[in-house]
Amino acid sequence: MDDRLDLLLPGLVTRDDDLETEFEALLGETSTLAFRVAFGVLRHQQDAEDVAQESFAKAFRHFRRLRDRTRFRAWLVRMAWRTALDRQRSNRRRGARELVVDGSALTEAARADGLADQAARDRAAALWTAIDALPEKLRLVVVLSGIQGHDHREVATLLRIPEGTVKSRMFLARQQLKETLR
Amino acid sequence: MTSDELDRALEEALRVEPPVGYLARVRARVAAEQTATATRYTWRPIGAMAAAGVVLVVGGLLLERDDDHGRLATNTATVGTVSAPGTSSRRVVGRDVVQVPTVTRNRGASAVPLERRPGHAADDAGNAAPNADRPAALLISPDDSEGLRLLRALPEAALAVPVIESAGPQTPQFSRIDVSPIQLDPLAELTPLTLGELQ
Repeated sequence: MDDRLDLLLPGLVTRDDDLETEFEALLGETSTLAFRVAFGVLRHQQDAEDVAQESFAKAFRHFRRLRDRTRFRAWLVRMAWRTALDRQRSNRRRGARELVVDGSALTEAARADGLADQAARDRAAALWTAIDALPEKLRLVVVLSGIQGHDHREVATLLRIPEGTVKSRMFLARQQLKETLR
Repeated sequence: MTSDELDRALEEALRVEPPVGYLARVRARVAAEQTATATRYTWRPIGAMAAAGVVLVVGGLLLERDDDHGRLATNTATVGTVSAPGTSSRRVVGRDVVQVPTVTRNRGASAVPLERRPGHAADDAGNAAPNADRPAALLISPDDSEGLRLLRALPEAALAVPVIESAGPQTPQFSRIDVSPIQLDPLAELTPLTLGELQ
């Protein structure tokens, strides 16, 4: 079937193959980023993985429409962020999911950084509790800024707000976090 | 806690590694999406062709139906039924069947009866025509009706019908005309005058 298609429509098949190859390369680069964005919103490992998979499926479906491939990273992050928010609202409606700190993920992160002690785990749990207490606008700015590689400008691009707004929200978020963690 | 310590704590908290096998599962999900997309694109032209076929069939049926309505309307408009005075009849105007009052001229025998086809006493809806037992007549002008009446009366009255035949294009016929030659008297010979003779 593929051979016949290749004979009949060589240009189309080649173009599809190129798209798939390009998407595969971008998927390898950004898979962890999508997972972290989803985890920063949902705070649940399985939900974060589901959201990341759904985001990549959406991205593949609409990949042809993305003219500027260099914007794939921001595009995917925005998609994962919105999908995670939808999942979070759905979880809240069901009321069946308790947003708690995923201990296994924290343990892996702590092991990776050499912070496997109980004090570090307690401090991380307190930090997440403080982040959860933030208003949603501030919380999203904090989460997106905390992900490695995102500066204020990138966060502003992701949220489609001015860079100055990101800075002011980060300032307010830090103030509240310091108050809570004091 | 200083701002640097807070930023460092945030970065550590968000440095969460995906579970084992996460990338493989994402790739499997994308591969499933590829298959679904390919299936969608495969069926799309087939669905489009099927939809086009349905549209053609329905359009053909509608056109055929319009032709039938057009023929019926034409027939009804050309030859109608003349009902009793004061009653109404159903006429087809375009696609609509309208109830129109019938105006009949009191000409009695001048109306030429129209042979009614069987099955026309009732319409498609099963409504019996109000004048099903009455003969139908042509709707023609009074002058034409009078002419037809005279034509029908010709054999009975054994009247000779003046037949006007057209001989086609005629060429003018010329007869020979004898014209006698004009004879002129010869002029009298003039005698030369001598000078001073008549003076």
